[in-house]
Amino acid sequence: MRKLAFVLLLALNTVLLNSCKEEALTYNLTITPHYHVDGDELMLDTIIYQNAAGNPYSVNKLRYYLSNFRFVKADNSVVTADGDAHFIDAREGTILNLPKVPVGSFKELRFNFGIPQSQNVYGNLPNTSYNTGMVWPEQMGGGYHFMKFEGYFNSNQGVNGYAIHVGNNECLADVSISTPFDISEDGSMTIGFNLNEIMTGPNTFDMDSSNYTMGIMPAMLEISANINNAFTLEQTP
Amino acid sequence: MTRSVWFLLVLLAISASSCKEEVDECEANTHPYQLQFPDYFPILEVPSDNPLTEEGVQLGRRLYYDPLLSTGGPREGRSCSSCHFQSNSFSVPSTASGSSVLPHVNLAWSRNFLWNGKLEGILEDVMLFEVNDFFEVDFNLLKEDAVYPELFRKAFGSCEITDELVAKALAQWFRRLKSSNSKFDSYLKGEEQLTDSELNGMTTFFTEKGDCFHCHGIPLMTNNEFHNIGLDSIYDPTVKDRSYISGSPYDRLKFKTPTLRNVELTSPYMHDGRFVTLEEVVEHYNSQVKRSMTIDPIMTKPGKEYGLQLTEEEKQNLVAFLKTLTDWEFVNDTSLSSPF
Ligand code: HEC
Ligand code: HEC
Repeated sequence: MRKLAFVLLLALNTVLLNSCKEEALTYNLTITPHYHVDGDELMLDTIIYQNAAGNPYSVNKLRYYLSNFRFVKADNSVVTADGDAHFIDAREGTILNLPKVPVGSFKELRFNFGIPQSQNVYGNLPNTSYNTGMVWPEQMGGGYHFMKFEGYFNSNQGVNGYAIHVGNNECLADVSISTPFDISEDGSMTIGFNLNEIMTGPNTFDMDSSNYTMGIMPAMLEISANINNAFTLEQTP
Repeated sequence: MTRSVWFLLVLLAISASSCKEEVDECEANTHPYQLQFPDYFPILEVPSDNPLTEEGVQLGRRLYYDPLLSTGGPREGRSCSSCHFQSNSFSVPSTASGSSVLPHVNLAWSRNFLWNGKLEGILEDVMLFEVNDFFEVDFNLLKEDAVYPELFRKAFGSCEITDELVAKALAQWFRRLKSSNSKFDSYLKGEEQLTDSELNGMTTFFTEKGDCFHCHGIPLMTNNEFHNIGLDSIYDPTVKDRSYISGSPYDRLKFKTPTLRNVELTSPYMHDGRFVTLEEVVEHYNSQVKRSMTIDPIMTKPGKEYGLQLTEEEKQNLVAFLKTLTDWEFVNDTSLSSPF
């Protein structure tokens, strides 16, 4: 009898210890996007930037999703830090919150720009007004817009608007940033997002020849291929 | 015991009971109101200090239909319902008031109000403006009325009638003005089929062909943002467009996207009511878009620089689809009509 009690206590102890350990294994990480254009701070609504094609432009709207955050260890193993899709509005200064990221030392940060196929189905994300505002019609492949990037530019016919929209599973971008970082407590990191890189490297986007991309697959694929270079890890936790 | 102690005790008893009575007199007596809508609708955010109740909704309904609200004010003789008819999705088939009357439908999900977005925020804020600035309600008339004091007590537990409470009741009523039972909704729920013509129009609406969904997307059929869709090419400073509010030249010629729910019933169309039929509206998008600096890029996108260039049949189909957005239950629901 006493033996049994002892064993039970021991078992309880391990359970408790384990649960403690499990909690210690994850931390809360906030990620603040820092928007800039080749190093200049982003100021919305004014035509003060110039892209690689030479179009002077403004940024009036930037809404997008980042998802599927993964951390890469020195031995190249990849751990998922957060599987959710996060809606971000640059105007609102959205800050991401990943509640349970793993502890450790990592050599690379990975995430998707857009929403992975399994989650990219209308109704899958909570029906907030943000998410319903990003719906990509069923008739055009369904799911959500990955990005709405809009503003004005000085074209050869005066000021004009542009709307760079990307969606569709084929256009999901995989971003990797090879900057080492450690997670050892609750913390925050800042990722730089250079908006000029949306429109170049490798594919230069000239607003004068096209100011609209929604549903135009070659244009959307080009933009999606540019995205990987747009991000940097500016401040590690 | 001395007499004075007795006296004090009696006094105490009286004041205690009168105190109790006073509390009773102003106690609320509410029953929660459950608003039903499909799960593809956005989450409904209701301020915690103004939950939906049967009593609040009914009070709001009465206020909406009561000309007492305008007595003595600049809109004497009118009620909200004088310019917002249920049969027209709570709009009016005229532009007598100077601009096209926006319908009252699904505004619970709106954050920008009026054609130029002059009002922002939640319904409680908007109703405060309607009550104080638009109607200049005389609250004494409500206090002296035979029924309102009792209705306010029941709904809000208040013996007072304030602008804030009138606004709260109206805000509850506006949340109740929810429309989600059109033929298109039945189709989305898999309960009803659309005709070939409607389906064809739906495809135009939701693909790059018509590209209507960007601004009139499901489920509210509006993005609640401001756009220039090329109705005019020349900015007229006397027209109070979005730039009149924001001060930004980039907002010239922009107006709020109206919902297309019940659009069949909300003629005349556009902020100034310039079009009478849906055919005229579709023809605008098809061939009459006028360029200017702030025109939405969707209007002049590659391949559609000269409009959508739809065939006659495609235009008719698009109109047929727009008519599937009519919620006949909503406009015929007697629980939404005048309580008088
Ligand atoms: C004299 C006619 C008239 C009366 C009476 C009237 N309205 Fe309106 N209402 C309008 C017009 C016209 C508009 C659109 C005006 C604009 O956007 O500039 C409108 C728009 C609105 C809107 C904005 C809808 C949207 O989609 O942004 C709300 C809310 C509203 N009215 C509430 C009320 C309430 C509440 C009352 C009663 C207290 C009322 N109205 C009485 C004419 C009227
Ligand atoms: C760029 C955004 C945008 C797109 C794309 C768009 N609309 Fe609109 N729509 C608006 C705005 C803004 C108004 C109000 C304009 C005004 O009054 O100045 C409007 C008005 C309307 C109205 C009048 C509604 C009323 O109650 O007055 C109808 C009908 C309509 N649109 C249908 C369509 C159809 C059909 C398409 C596709 C062919 C379409 N829209 C594409 C933004 C858009």
